[in-house]
Amino acid sequence: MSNQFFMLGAVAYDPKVVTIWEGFKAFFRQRDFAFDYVLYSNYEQQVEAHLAGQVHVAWNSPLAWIRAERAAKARGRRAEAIVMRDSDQNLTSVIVVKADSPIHTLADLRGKRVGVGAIDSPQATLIPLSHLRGQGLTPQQDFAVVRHDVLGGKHGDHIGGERDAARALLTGAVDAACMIDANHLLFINEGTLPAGSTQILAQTALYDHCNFTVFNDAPSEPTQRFRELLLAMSYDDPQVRPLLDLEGLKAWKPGRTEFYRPLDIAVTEMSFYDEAGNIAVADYQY
Amino acid sequence: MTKPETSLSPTINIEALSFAQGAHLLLKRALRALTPGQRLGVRVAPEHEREFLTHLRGWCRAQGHEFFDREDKESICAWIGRGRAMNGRWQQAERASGSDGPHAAPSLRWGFAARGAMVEAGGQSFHYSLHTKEQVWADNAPKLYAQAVAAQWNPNTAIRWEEPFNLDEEIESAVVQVMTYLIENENAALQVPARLYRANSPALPRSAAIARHSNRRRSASCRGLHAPRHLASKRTGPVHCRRAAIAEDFAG
Repeated sequence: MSNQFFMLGAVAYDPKVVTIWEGFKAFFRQRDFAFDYVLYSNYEQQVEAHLAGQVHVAWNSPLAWIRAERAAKARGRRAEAIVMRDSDQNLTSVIVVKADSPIHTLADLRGKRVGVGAIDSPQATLIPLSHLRGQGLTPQQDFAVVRHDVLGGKHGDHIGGERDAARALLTGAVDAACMIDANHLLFINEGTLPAGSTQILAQTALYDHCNFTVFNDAPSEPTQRFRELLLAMSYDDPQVRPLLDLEGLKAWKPGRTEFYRPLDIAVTEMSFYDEAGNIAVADYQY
Repeated sequence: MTKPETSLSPTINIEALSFAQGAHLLLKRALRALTPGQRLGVRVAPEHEREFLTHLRGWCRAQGHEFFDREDKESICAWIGRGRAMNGRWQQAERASGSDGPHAAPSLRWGFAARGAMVEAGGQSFHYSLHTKEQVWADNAPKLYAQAVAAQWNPNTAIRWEEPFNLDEEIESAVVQVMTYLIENENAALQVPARLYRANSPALPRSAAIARHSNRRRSASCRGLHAPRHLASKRTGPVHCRRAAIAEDFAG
Protein backbone atom coordinates (compact mmCIF):
# COMPACT_ATOMS: atom_id res chain seq x y z
CA MET A 1 0.00 0.00 0.00
CA SER A 2 1.52 3.33 -1.00
CA ASN A 3 -0.08 6.23 0.74
CA GLN A 4 1.55 9.29 2.23
CA PHE A 5 -0.94 9.09 5.10
CA PHE A 6 -1.17 6.56 7.88
CA MET A 7 -4.65 5.26 7.14
CA LEU A 8 -7.12 4.12 9.77
CA GLY A 9 -10.30 2.15 9.16
CA ALA A 10 -13.30 2.65 11.43
CA VAL A 11 -16.93 1.59 11.26
CA ALA A 12 -19.67 4.21 11.00
CA TYR A 13 -21.99 2.74 13.62
CA ASP A 14 -23.23 6.21 14.63
CA PRO A 15 -23.13 9.73 13.10
CA LYS A 16 -20.78 10.84 15.87
CA VAL A 17 -18.07 8.64 14.36
CA VAL A 18 -17.39 11.35 11.75
CA THR A 19 -16.95 13.96 14.49
CA ILE A 20 -14.67 11.65 16.44
CA TRP A 21 -12.28 10.85 13.60
CA GLU A 22 -12.25 14.39 12.21
CA GLY A 23 -11.18 15.41 15.71
CA PHE A 24 -8.45 12.78 15.86
CA LYS A 25 -7.33 13.72 12.36
CA ALA A 26 -6.90 17.34 13.45
CA PHE A 27 -5.11 16.18 16.62
CA PHE A 28 -2.62 14.10 14.63
CA ARG A 29 -2.11 16.73 11.92
CA GLN A 30 -1.32 19.34 14.59
CA ARG A 31 1.49 17.05 15.66
CA ASP A 32 2.83 16.67 12.11
CA PHE A 33 1.58 13.13 11.81
CA ALA A 34 0.13 12.45 8.37
CA PHE A 35 -3.07 10.65 9.34
CA ASP A 36 -6.34 10.04 7.55
CA TYR A 37 -9.22 7.63 7.92
CA VAL A 38 -11.76 5.62 5.95
CA LEU A 39 -15.19 4.73 7.30
CA TYR A 40 -16.77 1.38 6.52
CA SER A 41 -20.41 0.48 6.92
CA ASN A 42 -19.59 -2.76 8.73
CA TYR A 43 -16.73 -4.62 10.39
CA GLU A 44 -16.66 -7.44 7.85
CA GLN A 45 -15.80 -5.04 5.03
CA GLN A 46 -13.29 -3.33 7.28
CA VAL A 47 -11.43 -6.52 8.16
CA GLU A 48 -11.29 -7.53 4.50
CA ALA A 49 -10.06 -4.08 3.48
CA HIS A 50 -7.44 -4.23 6.21
CA LEU A 51 -6.25 -7.63 5.02
CA ALA A 52 -6.12 -6.25 1.47
CA GLY A 53 -3.88 -3.41 2.64
CA GLN A 54 -6.36 -0.59 2.14
CA VAL A 55 -5.76 0.71 5.67
CA HIS A 56 -2.77 0.42 7.98
CA VAL A 57 -4.68 0.18 11.24
CA ALA A 58 -8.27 -0.77 12.07
CA TRP A 59 -10.36 0.33 15.02
CA ASN A 60 -11.83 -3.10 15.57
CA SER A 61 -14.68 -4.47 17.61
CA PRO A 62 -13.71 -7.54 19.65
CA LEU A 63 -15.39 -9.75 17.07
CA ALA A 64 -13.53 -8.02 14.24
CA TRP A 65 -10.32 -8.61 16.21
CA ILE A 66 -11.07 -12.35 16.37
CA ARG A 67 -11.67 -12.45 12.62
CA ALA A 68 -8.57 -10.38 11.84
CA GLU A 69 -6.41 -12.53 14.09
CA ARG A 70 -7.66 -15.79 12.60
CA ALA A 71 -7.47 -14.55 9.02
CA ALA A 72 -3.98 -13.17 9.51
CA LYS A 73 -2.76 -16.43 11.00
CA ALA A 74 -4.22 -18.42 8.12
CA ARG A 75 -2.29 -16.17 5.70
CA GLY A 76 1.01 -16.44 7.52
CA ARG A 77 0.67 -12.99 9.00
CA ARG A 78 0.22 -11.83 12.58
CA ALA A 79 -2.31 -9.43 14.04
CA GLU A 80 -1.41 -7.20 16.97
CA ALA A 81 -3.68 -5.22 19.27
CA ILE A 82 -1.59 -2.11 19.85
CA VAL A 83 -3.85 0.20 21.87
CA MET A 84 -7.26 0.08 23.52
CA ARG A 85 -9.40 2.32 25.73
CA ASP A 86 -9.34 1.98 29.49
CA SER A 87 -13.08 1.41 29.15
CA ASP A 88 -12.45 -1.54 26.81
CA GLN A 89 -10.98 -3.58 29.64
CA ASN A 90 -12.72 -5.84 32.12
CA LEU A 91 -16.30 -5.82 30.84
CA THR A 92 -18.87 -8.38 31.87
CA SER A 93 -22.28 -9.17 30.47
CA VAL A 94 -25.29 -9.99 32.57
CA ILE A 95 -28.37 -12.13 32.06
CA VAL A 96 -31.34 -10.31 33.50
CA VAL A 97 -34.84 -11.46 34.41
CA LYS A 98 -37.86 -9.56 35.70
CA ALA A 99 -37.87 -8.90 39.42
CA ASP A 100 -40.98 -11.04 39.92
CA SER A 101 -39.80 -13.78 37.60
CA PRO A 102 -40.09 -17.41 38.73
CA ILE A 103 -36.60 -17.88 37.27
CA HIS A 104 -34.16 -17.93 40.18
CA THR A 105 -31.31 -20.08 38.87
CA LEU A 106 -29.81 -20.75 35.46
CA ALA A 107 -31.43 -24.18 35.50
CA ASP A 108 -34.80 -22.42 35.56
CA LEU A 109 -34.05 -21.12 32.05
CA ARG A 110 -34.72 -24.56 30.59
CA GLY A 111 -37.60 -24.32 28.17
CA LYS A 112 -37.63 -20.53 28.38
CA ARG A 113 -36.89 -17.74 25.87
CA VAL A 114 -33.64 -15.80 26.22
CA GLY A 115 -33.53 -12.45 24.43
CA VAL A 116 -30.18 -11.54 22.93
CA GLY A 117 -28.91 -8.69 20.74
CA ALA A 118 -27.89 -8.88 17.11
CA ILE A 119 -26.37 -12.09 15.77
CA ASP A 120 -22.96 -10.41 15.71
CA SER A 121 -23.06 -8.76 19.14
CA PRO A 122 -20.19 -10.10 21.28
CA GLN A 123 -21.61 -8.59 24.46
CA ALA A 124 -25.33 -9.30 24.08
CA THR A 125 -25.30 -12.54 22.11
CA LEU A 126 -22.06 -14.48 21.63
CA ILE A 127 -20.47 -14.21 25.08
CA PRO A 128 -23.68 -14.60 27.15
CA LEU A 129 -24.77 -17.63 25.10
CA SER A 130 -21.32 -19.14 25.52
CA HIS A 131 -21.57 -18.52 29.26
CA LEU A 132 -24.89 -20.37 29.38
CA ARG A 133 -23.39 -23.20 27.35
CA GLY A 134 -20.58 -23.39 29.88
CA GLN A 135 -23.20 -23.76 32.60
CA GLY A 136 -24.71 -26.75 30.83
CA LEU A 137 -27.45 -24.99 28.88
CA THR A 138 -27.24 -25.45 25.11
CA PRO A 139 -28.81 -22.60 23.11
CA GLN A 140 -31.82 -23.59 20.97
CA GLN A 141 -31.82 -26.96 22.67
CA ASP A 142 -32.31 -26.21 26.36
CA PHE A 143 -33.79 -22.77 25.78
CA ALA A 144 -34.99 -20.68 22.82
CA VAL A 145 -32.78 -17.85 21.59
CA VAL A 146 -34.73 -14.75 20.54
CA ARG A 147 -32.47 -12.55 18.46
CA HIS A 148 -32.88 -8.79 18.03
CA ASP A 149 -31.00 -8.11 14.82
CA VAL A 150 -30.35 -4.41 14.43
CA LEU A 151 -27.77 -3.02 11.99
CA GLY A 152 -25.96 -6.23 11.16
CA GLY A 153 -22.23 -6.01 10.64
CA LYS A 154 -21.76 -3.34 13.27
CA HIS A 155 -21.15 -5.97 15.93
CA GLY A 156 -23.63 -4.48 18.36
CA ASP A 157 -21.72 -1.22 18.84
CA HIS A 158 -24.94 0.77 18.58
CA ILE A 159 -26.57 -1.33 21.37
CA GLY A 160 -29.87 -1.20 19.46
CA GLY A 161 -30.46 -4.95 19.59
CA GLU A 162 -29.43 -5.03 23.24
CA ARG A 163 -31.99 -2.37 24.07
CA ASP A 164 -34.67 -4.22 22.07
CA ALA A 165 -33.93 -7.37 24.08
CA ALA A 166 -34.40 -5.37 27.29
CA ARG A 167 -37.73 -4.03 26.02
CA ALA A 168 -38.79 -7.55 25.07
CA LEU A 169 -38.11 -8.64 28.64
CA LEU A 170 -40.51 -6.00 29.95
CA THR A 171 -43.26 -6.89 27.50
CA GLY A 172 -42.93 -10.58 28.31
CA ALA A 173 -41.80 -11.50 24.80
CA VAL A 174 -38.73 -13.11 26.40
CA ASP A 175 -38.04 -14.49 29.87
CA ALA A 176 -34.46 -13.24 30.15
CA ALA A 177 -32.31 -10.67 28.36
CA CYS A 178 -28.55 -10.27 27.84
CA MET A 179 -26.61 -7.01 28.02
CA ILE A 180 -23.34 -5.41 29.13
CA ASP A 181 -23.15 -4.72 32.88
CA ALA A 182 -23.03 -0.95 32.31
CA ASN A 183 -25.92 -1.09 29.85
CA HIS A 184 -28.14 -2.62 32.52
CA LEU A 185 -27.50 0.54 34.52
CA LEU A 186 -27.90 2.69 31.38
CA PHE A 187 -31.26 1.10 30.56
CA ILE A 188 -32.43 1.74 34.12
CA ASN A 189 -31.26 5.37 34.07
CA GLU A 190 -32.87 6.11 30.70
CA GLY A 191 -36.12 4.44 31.73
CA THR A 192 -36.02 1.50 29.33
CA LEU A 193 -36.00 -0.76 32.38
CA PRO A 194 -37.82 0.84 35.32
CA ALA A 195 -35.70 0.79 38.48
CA GLY A 196 -36.40 -2.33 40.50
CA SER A 197 -38.19 -4.09 37.64
CA THR A 198 -35.37 -6.51 36.91
CA GLN A 199 -32.79 -8.62 38.69
CA ILE A 200 -29.48 -10.05 37.60
CA LEU A 201 -29.56 -13.80 37.17
CA ALA A 202 -26.00 -14.39 36.00
CA GLN A 203 -22.80 -12.58 35.07
CA THR A 204 -20.15 -13.66 32.58
CA ALA A 205 -16.40 -13.75 33.06
CA LEU A 206 -14.37 -10.63 32.29
CA TYR A 207 -13.69 -9.79 28.66
CA ASP A 208 -12.21 -6.91 26.65
CA HIS A 209 -13.80 -4.85 23.91
CA CYS A 210 -12.30 -2.78 21.05
CA ASN A 211 -8.69 -2.34 20.00
CA PHE A 212 -6.53 -0.77 17.30
CA THR A 213 -5.35 -3.70 15.21
CA VAL A 214 -2.32 -3.78 12.92
CA PHE A 215 -0.76 -6.62 10.96
CA ASN A 216 2.92 -7.39 11.22
CA ASP A 217 3.57 -5.89 7.78
CA ALA A 218 2.28 -2.45 8.81
CA PRO A 219 4.92 0.30 8.41
CA SER A 220 6.76 0.28 11.72
CA GLU A 221 7.69 3.94 12.16
CA PRO A 222 4.22 5.50 11.65
CA THR A 223 2.61 2.63 13.56
CA GLN A 224 4.87 3.32 16.49
CA ARG A 225 4.23 7.07 16.27
CA PHE A 226 0.47 6.51 16.09
CA ARG A 227 0.68 4.37 19.21
CA GLU A 228 2.85 6.84 21.09
CA LEU A 229 0.65 9.81 20.25
CA LEU A 230 -2.44 7.97 21.47
CA LEU A 231 -0.84 6.82 24.71
CA ALA A 232 0.37 10.37 25.37
CA MET A 233 -3.16 11.83 25.13
CA SER A 234 -4.08 13.18 28.53
CA TYR A 235 -7.52 13.81 29.96
CA ASP A 236 -5.94 16.86 31.63
CA ASP A 237 -5.55 18.49 28.20
CA PRO A 238 -8.68 20.53 27.42
CA GLN A 239 -8.03 20.24 23.68
CA VAL A 240 -7.94 16.44 23.86
CA ARG A 241 -10.61 15.86 26.51
CA PRO A 242 -13.65 16.37 24.21
CA LEU A 243 -12.28 13.70 21.85
CA LEU A 244 -11.79 11.26 24.69
CA ASP A 245 -15.26 12.02 26.03
CA LEU A 246 -16.79 11.38 22.60
CA GLU A 247 -14.93 8.10 22.22
CA GLY A 248 -15.81 7.09 25.80
CA LEU A 249 -12.46 6.81 27.55
CA LYS A 250 -10.33 8.56 30.12
CA ALA A 251 -6.99 7.10 28.98
CA TRP A 252 -5.59 4.88 26.23
CA LYS A 253 -3.95 1.66 27.37
CA PRO A 254 -1.46 -0.66 25.67
CA GLY A 255 -3.34 -3.42 23.91
CA ARG A 256 -3.71 -6.86 25.47
CA THR A 257 -5.35 -9.95 24.01
CA GLU A 258 -5.76 -12.48 26.81
CA PHE A 259 -9.25 -11.19 27.64
CA TYR A 260 -10.54 -11.97 24.12
CA ARG A 261 -10.44 -15.66 24.99
CA PRO A 262 -14.12 -15.89 26.09
CA LEU A 263 -15.20 -14.43 22.74
CA ASP A 264 -12.84 -16.66 20.78
CA ILE A 265 -14.44 -19.67 22.45
CA ALA A 266 -17.92 -18.31 21.72
CA VAL A 267 -17.07 -17.74 18.05
CA THR A 268 -15.93 -21.33 17.73
CA GLU A 269 -18.95 -22.73 19.60
CA MET A 270 -21.34 -20.77 17.38
CA SER A 271 -19.25 -21.37 14.22
CA PHE A 272 -19.43 -17.66 13.53
CA TYR A 273 -16.04 -17.60 11.78
CA ASP A 274 -14.00 -20.63 10.80
CA GLU A 275 -10.38 -21.01 11.86
CA ALA A 276 -9.25 -19.06 8.77
CA GLY A 277 -11.50 -16.10 9.61
CA ASN A 278 -14.12 -16.82 6.97
CA ILE A 279 -17.73 -16.08 7.85
CA ALA A 280 -19.31 -19.43 8.63
CA VAL A 281 -22.53 -18.53 10.39
CA ALA A 282 -25.77 -18.75 8.41
CA ASP A 283 -28.31 -15.92 8.00
CA TYR A 284 -25.83 -13.16 8.89
CA GLN A 285 -26.95 -10.03 7.04
CA TYR A 286 -24.62 -7.04 6.92
CA MET B 1 -26.18 6.31 54.66
CA THR B 2 -23.06 5.95 56.74
CA LYS B 3 -20.21 8.40 56.40
CA PRO B 4 -16.86 7.02 55.25
CA GLU B 5 -14.98 5.60 58.20
CA THR B 6 -11.74 7.16 59.30
CA SER B 7 -8.99 4.58 58.83
CA LEU B 8 -5.93 3.97 56.73
CA SER B 9 -8.17 3.00 53.83
CA PRO B 10 -11.37 4.99 53.84
CA THR B 11 -14.60 3.09 53.35
CA ILE B 12 -18.17 3.95 52.60
CA ASN B 13 -21.24 1.94 53.49
CA ILE B 14 -23.68 2.42 50.65
CA GLU B 15 -26.26 0.20 52.39
CA ALA B 16 -29.25 -0.38 50.06
CA LEU B 17 -28.89 2.74 47.95
CA SER B 18 -28.79 1.96 44.21
CA PHE B 19 -27.14 3.91 41.42
CA ALA B 20 -30.62 4.84 40.17
CA GLN B 21 -31.23 6.39 43.58
CA GLY B 22 -28.04 8.44 43.47
CA ALA B 23 -25.37 6.21 45.00
CA HIS B 24 -22.86 7.59 42.49
CA LEU B 25 -23.19 11.05 44.04
CA LEU B 26 -22.08 9.70 47.41
CA LEU B 27 -19.26 7.74 45.80
CA LYS B 28 -18.05 10.85 43.97
CA ARG B 29 -18.14 12.83 47.18
CA ALA B 30 -16.12 10.21 49.01
CA LEU B 31 -13.64 9.85 46.13
CA ARG B 32 -13.07 13.62 45.95
CA ALA B 33 -11.40 13.41 49.33
CA LEU B 34 -8.85 10.88 48.05
CA THR B 35 -5.75 11.27 45.92
CA PRO B 36 -5.40 9.44 42.58
CA GLY B 37 -4.48 5.83 43.21
CA GLN B 38 -5.89 5.77 46.74
CA ARG B 39 -8.53 3.15 47.42
CA LEU B 40 -12.05 3.48 48.76
CA GLY B 41 -13.64 0.42 50.31
CA VAL B 42 -17.33 -0.09 49.55
CA ARG B 43 -19.80 -1.95 51.73
CA VAL B 44 -23.30 -2.79 50.50
CA ALA B 45 -26.35 -4.40 52.07
CA PRO B 46 -26.10 -8.13 51.23
CA GLU B 47 -29.44 -8.29 49.43
CA HIS B 48 -28.37 -5.49 47.06
CA GLU B 49 -24.78 -6.56 46.61
CA ARG B 50 -25.06 -8.40 43.32
CA GLU B 51 -26.74 -5.65 41.32
CA PHE B 52 -24.83 -2.85 43.01
CA LEU B 53 -21.41 -4.37 42.38
CA THR B 54 -22.33 -5.13 38.76
CA HIS B 55 -23.24 -1.49 38.25
CA LEU B 56 -20.25 -0.29 40.25
CA ARG B 57 -17.91 -2.17 37.92
CA GLY B 58 -19.45 -0.47 34.86
CA TRP B 59 -19.56 2.92 36.56
CA CYS B 60 -15.88 2.73 37.53
CA ARG B 61 -14.95 1.79 33.96
CA ALA B 62 -16.82 4.80 32.58
CA GLN B 63 -15.42 7.19 35.17
CA GLY B 64 -11.81 6.11 34.85
CA HIS B 65 -11.61 4.51 38.30
CA GLU B 66 -10.28 1.03 38.95
CA PHE B 67 -12.60 -1.64 40.31
CA PHE B 68 -11.20 -4.34 42.57
CA ASP B 69 -13.12 -7.39 43.72
CA ARG B 70 -13.12 -8.15 47.43
CA GLU B 71 -10.45 -10.40 48.77
CA ASP B 72 -11.32 -13.60 50.58
CA LYS B 73 -13.08 -13.21 53.93
CA GLU B 74 -13.08 -9.44 53.59
CA SER B 75 -15.98 -7.48 54.99
CA ILE B 76 -15.50 -4.92 52.22
CA CYS B 77 -17.56 -5.81 49.13
CA ALA B 78 -15.31 -4.08 46.59
CA TRP B 79 -12.59 -1.45 46.31
CA ILE B 80 -12.46 1.58 44.05
CA GLY B 81 -9.06 2.87 43.00
CA ARG B 82 -9.51 6.59 42.45
CA GLY B 83 -8.60 7.60 38.90
CA ARG B 84 -7.09 10.85 37.67
CA ALA B 85 -9.98 12.02 35.48
CA MET B 86 -11.85 13.69 38.36
CA ASN B 87 -8.99 16.19 38.58
CA GLY B 88 -8.32 16.34 34.87
CA ARG B 89 -11.72 17.71 34.03
CA TRP B 90 -10.94 20.91 35.90
CA GLN B 91 -7.50 21.55 34.44
CA GLN B 92 -7.39 25.07 33.00
CA ALA B 93 -11.01 25.72 33.98
CA GLU B 94 -11.86 29.39 34.45
CA ARG B 95 -14.42 31.56 36.21
CA ALA B 96 -17.15 33.09 34.08
CA SER B 97 -16.49 36.71 35.10
CA GLY B 98 -15.81 37.47 38.71
CA SER B 99 -18.05 38.32 41.61
CA ASP B 100 -17.57 42.03 40.93
CA GLY B 101 -19.97 42.38 38.02
CA PRO B 102 -20.11 41.68 34.30
CA HIS B 103 -16.89 41.16 32.37
CA ALA B 104 -16.14 43.77 29.68
CA ALA B 105 -15.72 41.05 27.06
CA PRO B 106 -16.92 37.66 28.35
CA SER B 107 -15.57 34.56 26.62
CA LEU B 108 -17.95 33.02 24.12
CA ARG B 109 -17.07 29.64 25.65
CA TRP B 110 -18.78 30.56 28.90
CA GLY B 111 -22.12 29.77 27.26
CA PHE B 112 -24.95 29.55 29.77
CA ALA B 113 -22.68 29.60 32.82
CA ALA B 114 -23.73 31.87 35.65
CA ARG B 115 -21.45 34.78 36.34
CA GLY B 116 -18.80 33.54 38.75
CA ALA B 117 -19.27 29.85 37.94
CA MET B 118 -16.40 27.51 36.99
CA VAL B 119 -16.36 26.62 33.29
CA GLU B 120 -14.42 23.64 31.93
CA ALA B 121 -11.81 24.45 29.31
CA GLY B 122 -12.06 22.95 25.85
CA GLY B 123 -15.76 23.54 25.25
CA GLN B 124 -17.28 24.85 22.06
CA SER B 125 -17.82 28.57 21.53
CA PHE B 126 -21.34 29.95 21.40
CA HIS B 127 -22.31 32.67 18.96
CA TYR B 128 -23.73 35.90 20.34
CA SER B 129 -23.79 39.02 18.20
CA LEU B 130 -23.96 41.11 21.40
CA HIS B 131 -21.10 39.88 23.52
CA THR B 132 -19.26 42.87 24.97
CA LYS B 133 -20.34 45.05 27.82
CA GLU B 134 -19.78 48.11 25.65
CA GLN B 135 -22.38 46.84 23.16
CA VAL B 136 -25.17 46.39 25.66
CA TRP B 137 -24.52 48.54 28.68
CA ALA B 138 -27.08 51.24 29.54
CA ASP B 139 -26.83 53.30 32.72
CA ASN B 140 -30.55 53.95 32.73
CA ALA B 141 -31.56 50.27 32.64
CA PRO B 142 -32.56 50.14 36.34
CA LYS B 143 -34.67 53.24 35.91
CA LEU B 144 -36.39 51.85 32.83
CA TYR B 145 -37.02 48.63 34.66
CA ALA B 146 -38.56 50.47 37.59
CA GLN B 147 -40.79 52.36 35.19
CA ALA B 148 -41.82 49.14 33.48
CA VAL B 149 -42.73 47.52 36.77
CA ALA B 150 -44.67 50.58 37.90
CA ALA B 151 -46.58 50.69 34.63
CA GLN B 152 -47.76 47.13 34.88
CA TRP B 153 -51.52 46.82 35.25
CA ASN B 154 -53.91 43.95 35.59
CA PRO B 155 -56.60 44.02 32.90
CA ASN B 156 -58.69 41.50 34.84
CA THR B 157 -59.25 43.98 37.64
CA ALA B 158 -58.70 47.32 35.91
CA ILE B 159 -61.47 46.74 33.37
CA ARG B 160 -65.05 45.95 34.28
CA TRP B 161 -65.53 43.29 31.63
CA GLU B 162 -69.04 42.38 32.83
CA GLU B 163 -70.42 45.89 32.41
CA PRO B 164 -72.81 46.01 29.45
CA PHE B 165 -72.17 48.45 26.66
CA ASN B 166 -73.88 49.32 23.41
CA LEU B 167 -72.02 50.92 20.54
CA ASP B 168 -73.11 51.67 17.05
CA GLU B 169 -72.20 48.86 14.71
CA GLU B 170 -69.67 51.00 12.83
CA ILE B 171 -68.03 52.18 16.07
CA GLU B 172 -67.83 48.62 17.37
CA SER B 173 -66.30 47.52 14.09
CA ALA B 174 -63.72 50.33 14.36
CA VAL B 175 -62.87 49.33 17.94
CA VAL B 176 -62.36 45.74 16.79
CA GLN B 177 -60.07 46.98 14.02
CA VAL B 178 -58.03 49.10 16.45
CA MET B 179 -57.76 46.18 18.89
CA THR B 180 -56.56 43.92 16.09
CA TYR B 181 -53.88 46.45 15.23
CA LEU B 182 -52.85 46.69 18.89
CA ILE B 183 -52.54 42.91 19.14
CA GLU B 184 -50.17 42.90 16.19
CA ASN B 185 -48.25 45.75 17.78
CA GLU B 186 -48.03 43.90 21.06
CA ASN B 187 -46.81 40.76 19.35
CA ALA B 188 -44.09 42.78 17.67
CA ALA B 189 -43.28 44.40 21.01
CA LEU B 190 -42.74 40.93 22.44
CA GLN B 191 -40.87 39.36 19.56
CA VAL B 192 -38.44 42.18 18.75
CA PRO B 193 -36.86 42.26 22.21
CA ALA B 194 -37.10 38.48 22.41
CA ARG B 195 -34.69 38.28 19.48
CA LEU B 196 -32.28 40.36 21.49
CA TYR B 197 -32.27 37.80 24.28
CA ARG B 198 -30.93 35.21 21.87
CA ALA B 199 -28.27 37.57 20.52
CA ASN B 200 -27.08 38.66 23.94
CA SER B 201 -24.38 36.75 25.80
CA PRO B 202 -25.84 35.38 29.07
CA ALA B 203 -22.68 36.64 30.76
CA LEU B 204 -23.99 40.18 30.29
CA PRO B 205 -27.07 41.77 31.86
CA ARG B 206 -29.86 41.21 29.34
CA SER B 207 -32.00 43.96 30.80
CA ALA B 208 -29.38 46.45 29.70
CA ALA B 209 -29.40 45.14 26.16
CA ILE B 210 -33.14 45.26 25.92
CA ALA B 211 -33.25 48.76 27.32
CA ARG B 212 -30.58 50.06 25.01
CA HIS B 213 -31.83 48.46 21.83
CA SER B 214 -35.51 49.08 22.25
CA ASN B 215 -35.52 52.45 23.94
CA ARG B 216 -37.58 53.94 21.16
CA ARG B 217 -40.40 51.58 21.91
CA ARG B 218 -41.57 52.01 25.40
CA SER B 219 -43.97 49.08 25.30
CA ALA B 220 -41.29 46.83 23.80
CA SER B 221 -38.74 47.70 26.43
CA CYS B 222 -41.30 47.26 29.19
CA ARG B 223 -42.13 43.75 28.07
CA GLY B 224 -38.55 42.87 27.36
CA LEU B 225 -37.58 43.92 30.81
CA HIS B 226 -40.47 42.38 32.58
CA ALA B 227 -41.41 39.15 30.85
CA PRO B 228 -38.52 36.79 31.73
CA ARG B 229 -37.98 38.52 35.02
CA HIS B 230 -36.02 35.70 36.59
CA LEU B 231 -33.35 36.26 33.96
CA ALA B 232 -33.59 39.90 33.10
CA SER B 233 -34.62 42.00 36.01
CA LYS B 234 -32.31 43.99 38.15
CA ARG B 235 -34.33 43.00 41.18
CA THR B 236 -34.71 39.27 40.70
CA GLY B 237 -32.07 38.21 38.16
CA PRO B 238 -29.05 38.64 40.40
CA VAL B 239 -30.79 36.86 43.30
CA HIS B 240 -29.36 33.48 42.25
CA CYS B 241 -25.87 34.91 41.84
CA ARG B 242 -26.09 36.86 45.10
CA ARG B 243 -27.26 33.80 47.01
CA ALA B 244 -24.63 31.55 45.44
CA ALA B 245 -21.88 33.96 46.40
CA ILE B 246 -22.84 34.62 50.03
CA ALA B 247 -20.50 32.02 51.50
CA GLU B 248 -17.93 31.42 48.80
CA ASP B 249 -17.82 34.62 46.74
CA PHE B 250 -18.37 32.58 43.57
CA ALA B 251 -21.01 30.42 42.00
CA GLY B 252 -20.22 26.70 41.87
